Amino acid sequence: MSLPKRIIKETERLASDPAPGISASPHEDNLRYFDVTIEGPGGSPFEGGIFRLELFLPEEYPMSPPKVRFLTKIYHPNIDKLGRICLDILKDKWSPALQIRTVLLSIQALLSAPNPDDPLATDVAKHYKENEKDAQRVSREWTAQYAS
Amino acid sequence: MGNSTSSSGRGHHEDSVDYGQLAPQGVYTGPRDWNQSVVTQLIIERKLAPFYRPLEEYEDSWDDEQILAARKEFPDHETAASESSTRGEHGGTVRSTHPHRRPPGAKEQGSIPEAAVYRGAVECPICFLYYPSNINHSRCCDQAICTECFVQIKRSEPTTTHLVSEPAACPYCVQDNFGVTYTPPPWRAGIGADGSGYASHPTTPRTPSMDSASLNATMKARRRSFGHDSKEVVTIDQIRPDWEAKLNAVRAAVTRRANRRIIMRQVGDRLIPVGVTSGRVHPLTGDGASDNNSEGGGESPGEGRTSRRSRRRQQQQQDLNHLLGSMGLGGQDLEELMVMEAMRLSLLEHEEQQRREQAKKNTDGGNQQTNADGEQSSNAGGPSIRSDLPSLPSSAPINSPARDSSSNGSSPSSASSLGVDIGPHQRNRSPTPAVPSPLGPQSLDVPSTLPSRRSIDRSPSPRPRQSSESSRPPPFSTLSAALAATSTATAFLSPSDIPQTEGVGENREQSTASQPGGIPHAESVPARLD
Repeated sequence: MSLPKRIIKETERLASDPAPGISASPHEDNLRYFDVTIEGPGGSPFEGGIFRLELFLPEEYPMSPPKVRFLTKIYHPNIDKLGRICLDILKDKWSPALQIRTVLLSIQALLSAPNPDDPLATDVAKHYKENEKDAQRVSREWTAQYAS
Repeated sequence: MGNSTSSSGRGHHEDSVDYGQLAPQGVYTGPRDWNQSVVTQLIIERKLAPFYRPLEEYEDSWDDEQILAARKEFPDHETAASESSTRGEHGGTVRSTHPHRRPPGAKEQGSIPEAAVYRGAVECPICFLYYPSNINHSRCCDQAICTECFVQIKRSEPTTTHLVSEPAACPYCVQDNFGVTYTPPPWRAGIGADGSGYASHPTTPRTPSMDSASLNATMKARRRSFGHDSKEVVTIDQIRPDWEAKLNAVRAAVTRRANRRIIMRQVGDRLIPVGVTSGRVHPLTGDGASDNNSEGGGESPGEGRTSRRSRRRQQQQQDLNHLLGSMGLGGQDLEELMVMEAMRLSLLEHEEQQRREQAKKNTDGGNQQTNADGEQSSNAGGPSIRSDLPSLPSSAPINSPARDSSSNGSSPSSASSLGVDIGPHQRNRSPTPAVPSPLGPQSLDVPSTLPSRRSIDRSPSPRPRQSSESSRPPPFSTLSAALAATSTATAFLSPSDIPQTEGVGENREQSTASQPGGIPHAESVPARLD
């Protein structure tokens, strides 16, 4: 099965014009599977961390969203223990006009703006809602511990 | 469409529209689940851009040969075989392919029309391929989208947990009810052209490049957006007119699942699962009324959900099975079968245990116990059912001691209690046909129920009616008899015409149920989206 032109072009553009703080490169043996890193955005509790993710483009891509997961442990209300991400554009709000790049930028933005009202990790979300300062402290600790 | 030679598999030039094709070129390999004849018609009417063969890359400086060479070949296309020869040359120099790629009668000199249409090609932002500039534009935000991508956009598929099918949003601006407009080139070629065919278009070869430039200008000039219902707009619902029927079918399947009950039989102070009702709606109109629940057809205002569902079901009954079959939801539900298997195993274990107990007791009492739990399963023992029950015992004496001994370790006092869906006692149900019980014949007369039951019976086991008297394979006959009993229940409740007191969604109205509910016509289904 040959790779759709779109995936080839996206990969090329990611390489030639990477988004700041984001890298994504395909596996040699599976060009639909990407190793991703996202730098924790400045000013967030994740600053200074480098988070590893995996991204997979399913057969239906771009009509179906890519599957993205954090590999690095992260204390974030919208990311659960398994690294799954609660982000609408990865689910029902996916649009085929979105790309790998826009998805990763959205995830980076999610790190800056946690949304505890739509939690995936309920305990973390509870922590964030009840004591944001303390929750951010834990997020920083985890960032230092796991994402450096 | 270009050259008729290489694209012959994709349609001869007389099947082309403005040098584009009527069928997709293979950018996407998934199922073509849109209505292709609608799409074809829209292309012929120039309301949708034809399926042009895309260019992988495009540079304004390219000459015709380069353009033609850049046209993408899709090896997985169904007509790949017919194109293989062309492709072989295609891999070589452009020159060598040239003679083969020219339409007969096309001029050797000057611009090649099927290359010229690509002048000023635009990249589709979704597939990243280049198409002639007469491309579709989103009605709302005027963004380009090729037809190949357009036909991929569809409503969200309803799932069993998300029973709505939201209209597709524009991929670019996320406005609901995605639709496109298309401005065809000022000239015509192929279908719909005067006289049709290339020969009659001496002017076309030279004009397209100019025209596409002017076309670009008009495109850019257009800034207004269109409503999704304006006649220039082609919406994604237009090319998938069956979306509502699909949604309804999934809803019906879910309803059916929700209606499924596990049939319990009471033995002593225990309830044993003996089967599962399918909850399937039978297309028979005659017994529809009997299934109505006390909500009076669900028309009461507070029962919005129910009533909608019930109305929908009425409409669908006739075509439901057929439709579900086409969706892969038909026939025996896998889940249903799995539940039954689980139950069979559980039963097996239970009966094994009972057999041991029975062996200990070894009394004759068990054999007398027969119909005690012959309660019907489909309803929670409402009085109306009860009144019919006395007829059931008539089958009891038939029960052979052998059969009863295994399953009826319980005493007669184990009669069904109110409020529980008690499974029909399979032992006395199985011989029903042999007994002139008033219920027996009726159950057999229900054509709608029997086929499905039979298929259930068939899969897990020998049919109880035959096997029960001679051999006794306890778990099997138990299960299937229970299932048979459910249909009996339906049948035997039917004539009574008594509104029952349960089963949300089981309600059907006789009158409407008999309407010709043409499923494929979305209009005939009154249900609206939430």
